Amino acid sequence: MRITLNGEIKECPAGTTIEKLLELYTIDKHRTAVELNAQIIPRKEHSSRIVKDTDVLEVVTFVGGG
Amino acid sequence: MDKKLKIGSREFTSRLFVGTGKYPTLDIMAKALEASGAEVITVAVRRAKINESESLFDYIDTNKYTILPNTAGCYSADEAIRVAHLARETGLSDMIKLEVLGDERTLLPDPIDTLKATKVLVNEGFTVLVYTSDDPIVAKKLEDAGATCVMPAGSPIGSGQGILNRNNIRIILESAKIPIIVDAGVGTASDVAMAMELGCEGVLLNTGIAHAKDPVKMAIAMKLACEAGRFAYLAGRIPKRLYAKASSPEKDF
Repeated sequence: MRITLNGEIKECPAGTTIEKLLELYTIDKHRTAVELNAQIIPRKEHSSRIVKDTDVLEVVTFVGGG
Repeated sequence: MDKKLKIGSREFTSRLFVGTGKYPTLDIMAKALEASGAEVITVAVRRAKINESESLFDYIDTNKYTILPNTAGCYSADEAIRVAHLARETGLSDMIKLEVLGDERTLLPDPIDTLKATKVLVNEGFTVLVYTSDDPIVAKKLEDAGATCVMPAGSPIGSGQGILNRNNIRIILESAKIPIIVDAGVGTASDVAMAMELGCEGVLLNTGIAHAKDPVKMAIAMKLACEAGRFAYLAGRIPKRLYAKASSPEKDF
Protein backbone atom coordinates (compact mmCIF):
# COMPACT_ATOMS: atom_id res chain seq x y z
CA MET A 1 0.00 0.00 0.00
CA ARG A 2 1.01 3.58 -0.47
CA ILE A 3 1.37 6.36 2.04
CA THR A 4 2.79 9.87 1.85
CA LEU A 5 5.80 10.25 4.10
CA ASN A 6 7.20 13.77 4.41
CA GLY A 7 5.81 14.68 1.02
CA GLU A 8 7.10 11.57 -0.76
CA ILE A 9 4.93 8.66 -1.92
CA LYS A 10 6.26 5.51 -0.22
CA GLU A 11 5.34 1.85 -0.12
CA CYS A 12 4.81 -0.17 3.02
CA PRO A 13 3.21 -3.54 3.81
CA ALA A 14 -0.30 -3.69 5.21
CA GLY A 15 -0.35 -3.73 9.01
CA THR A 16 2.76 -1.50 9.37
CA THR A 17 2.85 0.45 12.62
CA ILE A 18 4.30 3.97 12.85
CA GLU A 19 7.28 2.54 14.71
CA LYS A 20 7.94 -0.04 11.96
CA LEU A 21 7.55 2.59 9.28
CA LEU A 22 10.22 4.76 10.90
CA GLU A 23 12.53 1.72 11.02
CA LEU A 24 11.75 0.85 7.40
CA TYR A 25 12.80 4.31 6.23
CA THR A 26 15.71 4.69 8.67
CA ILE A 27 14.29 7.61 10.63
CA ASP A 28 15.65 7.84 14.17
CA LYS A 29 12.61 7.27 16.38
CA HIS A 30 14.14 9.29 19.19
CA ARG A 31 13.58 13.03 19.13
CA THR A 32 10.96 12.83 16.45
CA ALA A 33 7.32 13.78 16.45
CA VAL A 34 4.77 12.27 14.11
CA GLU A 35 1.68 13.73 12.56
CA LEU A 36 -0.78 11.34 10.94
CA ASN A 37 -3.27 13.12 8.70
CA ALA A 38 -2.46 16.42 10.46
CA GLN A 39 -2.97 15.00 13.97
CA ILE A 40 -0.07 14.49 16.34
CA ILE A 41 0.20 10.86 17.41
CA PRO A 42 1.64 10.57 20.94
CA ARG A 43 4.90 8.63 21.10
CA LYS A 44 3.43 5.87 23.24
CA GLU A 45 1.00 5.01 20.45
CA HIS A 46 3.69 4.63 17.76
CA SER A 47 4.16 0.92 18.42
CA SER A 48 0.45 0.14 18.13
CA ARG A 49 -0.91 2.64 15.62
CA ILE A 50 -1.20 1.04 12.17
CA VAL A 51 -0.95 3.19 9.08
CA LYS A 52 -3.52 2.84 6.33
CA ASP A 53 -3.43 3.23 2.57
CA THR A 54 -3.34 6.93 1.48
CA ASP A 55 -2.39 8.11 4.99
CA VAL A 56 -0.29 11.25 5.08
CA LEU A 57 2.53 11.23 7.61
CA GLU A 58 4.78 14.05 8.64
CA VAL A 59 7.77 13.11 10.75
CA VAL A 60 9.76 15.97 12.19
CA THR A 61 12.96 16.19 14.13
CA PHE A 62 15.36 18.87 15.35
CA VAL A 63 17.95 20.39 13.06
CA GLY A 64 20.41 23.23 13.53
CA GLY A 65 18.73 26.60 14.04
CA GLY A 66 18.96 29.90 15.85
CA MET B 1 29.32 37.01 42.45
CA ASP B 2 26.12 36.88 40.40
CA LYS B 3 22.75 35.28 40.87
CA LYS B 4 21.63 32.63 38.46
CA LEU B 5 19.41 33.37 35.49
CA LYS B 6 15.98 31.92 36.16
CA ILE B 7 13.83 30.93 33.18
CA GLY B 8 10.61 29.30 34.35
CA SER B 9 11.62 26.47 36.63
CA ARG B 10 15.19 26.28 35.35
CA GLU B 11 18.32 28.12 36.49
CA PHE B 12 21.41 28.89 34.45
CA THR B 13 24.87 30.22 35.20
CA SER B 14 25.63 31.17 31.60
CA ARG B 15 23.66 34.07 30.18
CA LEU B 16 24.61 33.35 26.60
CA PHE B 17 22.14 31.28 24.57
CA VAL B 18 23.59 29.95 21.32
CA GLY B 19 21.96 28.65 18.16
CA THR B 20 22.98 25.48 16.33
CA GLY B 21 22.42 26.61 12.72
CA LYS B 22 24.74 27.42 9.84
CA TYR B 23 28.12 26.24 11.17
CA PRO B 24 30.65 25.05 8.57
CA THR B 25 30.42 21.52 10.07
CA LEU B 26 28.62 19.87 12.98
CA ASP B 27 32.00 19.18 14.55
CA ILE B 28 32.85 22.91 14.54
CA MET B 29 29.39 23.60 15.95
CA ALA B 30 30.01 21.21 18.86
CA LYS B 31 33.37 22.85 19.61
CA ALA B 32 31.91 26.37 19.37
CA LEU B 33 29.02 25.48 21.70
CA GLU B 34 31.50 24.09 24.19
CA ALA B 35 33.71 27.20 23.95
CA SER B 36 30.73 29.55 24.37
CA GLY B 37 29.90 28.09 27.76
CA ALA B 38 26.22 28.17 26.75
CA GLU B 39 23.83 26.00 28.74
CA VAL B 40 20.83 26.71 26.54
CA ILE B 41 21.03 25.98 22.82
CA THR B 42 18.36 26.52 20.21
CA VAL B 43 17.28 24.08 17.52
CA ALA B 44 14.76 24.20 14.69
CA VAL B 45 11.97 21.74 13.89
CA ARG B 46 12.03 20.32 10.37
CA ARG B 47 10.98 17.25 8.42
CA ALA B 48 13.13 14.24 9.29
CA LYS B 49 15.21 13.10 6.35
CA ILE B 50 14.40 9.66 5.03
CA ASN B 51 17.26 7.15 5.04
CA GLU B 52 19.71 9.44 6.77
CA SER B 53 21.51 8.25 9.84
CA GLU B 54 23.45 11.38 10.88
CA SER B 55 21.66 13.47 13.48
CA LEU B 56 22.32 16.82 15.12
CA PHE B 57 22.21 14.91 18.38
CA ASP B 58 25.27 12.88 17.46
CA TYR B 59 27.06 16.13 18.31
CA ILE B 60 24.96 17.42 21.19
CA ASP B 61 24.80 15.92 24.65
CA THR B 62 21.21 16.47 25.75
CA ASN B 63 22.19 15.80 29.36
CA LYS B 64 24.52 18.76 29.22
CA TYR B 65 22.49 21.34 27.31
CA THR B 66 18.95 22.58 27.75
CA ILE B 67 17.35 22.33 24.33
CA LEU B 68 15.26 25.31 23.28
CA PRO B 69 13.30 24.51 20.11
CA ASN B 70 12.29 27.46 17.97
CA THR B 71 9.40 28.06 15.60
CA ALA B 72 11.65 29.68 13.00
CA GLY B 73 10.18 29.81 9.54
CA CYS B 74 6.59 30.21 10.75
CA TYR B 75 4.60 33.10 9.30
CA SER B 76 1.35 32.73 11.23
CA ALA B 77 0.22 32.01 14.78
CA ASP B 78 -1.33 28.71 13.67
CA GLU B 79 1.89 27.48 12.03
CA ALA B 80 3.94 28.43 15.09
CA ILE B 81 1.48 26.70 17.44
CA ARG B 82 1.69 23.53 15.33
CA VAL B 83 5.49 23.57 15.43
CA ALA B 84 5.44 24.16 19.20
CA HIS B 85 3.18 21.13 19.64
CA LEU B 86 5.49 18.99 17.50
CA ALA B 87 8.54 20.22 19.42
CA ARG B 88 6.96 19.31 22.74
CA GLU B 89 5.96 15.88 21.41
CA THR B 90 9.62 14.98 20.88
CA GLY B 91 9.85 14.88 24.65
CA LEU B 92 12.97 17.02 24.84
CA SER B 93 11.56 20.28 26.10
CA ASP B 94 8.43 22.15 27.09
CA MET B 95 10.22 25.43 26.42
CA ILE B 96 9.62 27.12 23.11
CA LYS B 97 11.35 30.01 21.44
CA LEU B 98 8.31 31.49 19.75
CA GLU B 99 9.06 33.23 16.51
CA VAL B 100 6.30 34.37 14.15
CA LEU B 101 7.72 36.27 11.23
CA GLY B 102 6.08 38.93 9.12
CA ASP B 103 7.81 38.41 5.80
CA GLU B 104 10.72 36.62 4.20
CA ARG B 105 12.63 39.68 3.12
CA THR B 106 12.97 41.37 6.51
CA LEU B 107 12.39 38.37 8.82
CA LEU B 108 10.89 40.92 11.19
CA PRO B 109 8.39 39.56 13.70
CA ASP B 110 4.65 39.82 13.14
CA PRO B 111 3.56 41.39 16.44
CA ILE B 112 -0.13 40.54 16.09
CA ASP B 113 0.30 36.83 15.42
CA THR B 114 3.18 36.65 17.91
CA LEU B 115 0.87 37.91 20.65
CA LYS B 116 -1.91 35.57 19.55
CA ALA B 117 0.39 32.51 19.61
CA THR B 118 1.87 33.56 22.96
CA LYS B 119 -1.56 33.58 24.58
CA VAL B 120 -2.44 30.13 23.21
CA LEU B 121 0.87 28.49 24.15
CA VAL B 122 0.97 30.03 27.64
CA ASN B 123 -2.55 28.64 28.22
CA GLU B 124 -1.34 25.23 27.11
CA GLY B 125 1.42 25.27 29.71
CA PHE B 126 4.43 26.03 27.54
CA THR B 127 7.35 28.02 28.85
CA VAL B 128 7.33 30.70 26.17
CA LEU B 129 10.44 32.68 25.30
CA VAL B 130 9.18 35.06 22.70
CA TYR B 131 11.11 36.75 19.94
CA THR B 132 9.86 40.23 19.15
CA SER B 133 10.95 43.58 17.78
CA ASP B 134 12.39 46.21 20.10
CA ASP B 135 8.98 47.89 20.45
CA PRO B 136 8.39 48.48 24.18
CA ILE B 137 4.60 48.35 23.91
CA VAL B 138 4.62 44.99 22.14
CA ALA B 139 7.17 43.69 24.66
CA LYS B 140 4.89 44.72 27.53
CA LYS B 141 1.85 43.08 25.95
CA LEU B 142 3.80 39.83 25.52
CA GLU B 143 4.83 39.96 29.16
CA ASP B 144 1.21 40.59 30.19
CA ALA B 145 0.16 37.62 28.03
CA GLY B 146 2.29 35.38 30.23
CA ALA B 147 5.55 35.01 28.33
CA THR B 148 8.33 33.69 30.58
CA CYS B 149 10.90 35.76 28.79
CA VAL B 150 10.73 38.49 26.15
CA MET B 151 13.47 38.53 23.54
CA PRO B 152 13.69 41.74 21.53
CA ALA B 153 15.81 41.83 18.40
CA GLY B 154 18.86 44.09 18.52
CA SER B 155 18.58 44.32 14.72
CA PRO B 156 17.26 42.02 11.98
CA ILE B 157 18.07 38.29 12.19
CA GLY B 158 21.52 37.47 10.86
CA SER B 159 22.25 41.11 9.98
CA GLY B 160 25.13 41.58 12.42
CA GLN B 161 24.16 45.22 12.95
CA GLY B 162 24.21 44.97 16.75
CA ILE B 163 21.78 46.92 18.89
CA LEU B 164 20.31 49.63 16.70
CA ASN B 165 18.06 51.26 19.28
CA ARG B 166 19.51 51.13 22.77
CA ASN B 167 16.84 53.48 24.03
CA ASN B 168 14.04 51.08 23.15
CA ILE B 169 15.87 48.25 24.92
CA ARG B 170 16.28 50.54 27.96
CA ILE B 171 12.58 51.38 27.97
CA ILE B 172 11.70 47.68 27.72
CA LEU B 173 14.05 46.94 30.64
CA GLU B 174 12.63 49.73 32.78
CA SER B 175 9.21 48.17 33.14
CA ALA B 176 9.91 44.46 32.61
CA LYS B 177 9.42 42.09 35.53
CA ILE B 178 10.58 39.07 33.53
CA PRO B 179 13.97 38.38 31.93
CA ILE B 180 14.73 40.36 28.78
CA ILE B 181 17.14 38.62 26.44
CA VAL B 182 18.42 40.29 23.30
CA ASP B 183 17.91 37.89 20.41
CA ALA B 184 19.14 38.49 16.88
CA GLY B 185 21.39 40.93 15.11
CA VAL B 186 24.49 40.43 17.23
CA GLY B 187 27.58 40.78 15.04
CA THR B 188 30.49 40.79 17.41
CA ALA B 189 31.54 40.72 21.05
CA SER B 190 30.91 44.40 21.79
CA ASP B 191 27.25 43.97 20.76
CA VAL B 192 26.85 41.30 23.43
CA ALA B 193 28.63 43.45 26.01
CA MET B 194 26.35 46.37 25.11
CA ALA B 195 23.19 44.31 25.65
CA MET B 196 24.43 43.11 29.00
CA GLU B 197 25.62 46.56 30.10
CA LEU B 198 22.13 47.90 29.42
CA GLY B 199 20.84 45.35 31.92
CA CYS B 200 19.55 42.56 29.73
CA GLU B 201 19.45 39.19 31.48
CA GLY B 202 21.09 37.45 28.55
CA VAL B 203 21.82 37.32 24.84
CA LEU B 204 20.80 34.76 22.23
CA LEU B 205 22.83 34.56 19.06
CA ASN B 206 23.69 32.20 16.24
CA THR B 207 25.07 33.70 13.03
CA GLY B 208 27.59 35.94 14.82
CA ILE B 209 29.42 32.80 15.94
CA ALA B 210 28.48 30.34 13.18
CA HIS B 211 29.56 32.60 10.31
CA ALA B 212 32.65 34.08 11.93
CA LYS B 213 35.88 33.08 10.18
CA ASP B 214 36.78 31.13 13.30
CA PRO B 215 33.55 30.17 15.10
CA VAL B 216 35.31 28.66 18.11
CA LYS B 217 37.36 31.80 18.78
CA MET B 218 34.28 33.96 18.31
CA ALA B 219 32.39 31.75 20.76
CA ILE B 220 35.08 32.48 23.36
CA ALA B 221 34.84 36.22 22.59
CA MET B 222 31.04 36.17 22.98
CA LYS B 223 31.28 34.30 26.28
CA LEU B 224 33.78 36.80 27.70
CA ALA B 225 31.76 39.76 26.39
CA CYS B 226 28.62 38.41 28.02
CA GLU B 227 30.40 38.07 31.35
CA ALA B 228 32.15 41.44 31.00
CA GLY B 229 28.94 43.25 30.14
CA ARG B 230 27.07 41.57 32.96
CA PHE B 231 29.67 42.50 35.58
CA ALA B 232 29.89 46.06 34.25
CA TYR B 233 26.12 46.31 34.68
CA LEU B 234 26.21 44.86 38.20
CA ALA B 235 29.15 47.05 39.15
CA GLY B 236 27.35 50.22 38.03
CA ARG B 237 29.15 52.39 35.54
CA ILE B 238 30.24 55.97 36.20
CA PRO B 239 28.03 58.67 34.71
CA LYS B 240 29.19 60.22 31.44
CA ARG B 241 30.49 63.80 31.88
CA LEU B 242 31.06 66.51 29.32
CA TYR B 243 34.30 67.73 30.97
CA ALA B 244 37.40 66.03 32.29
CA LYS B 245 37.83 65.00 35.90
CA ALA B 246 41.37 64.35 37.09
CA SER B 247 42.21 60.88 38.33
CA SER B 248 45.22 62.02 40.36
CA PRO B 249 45.12 64.42 43.36
CA GLU B 250 45.19 68.04 42.23
CA LYS B 251 46.87 69.45 45.40
CA ASP B 252 50.06 68.91 47.43
CA PHE B 253 52.55 68.95 44.59
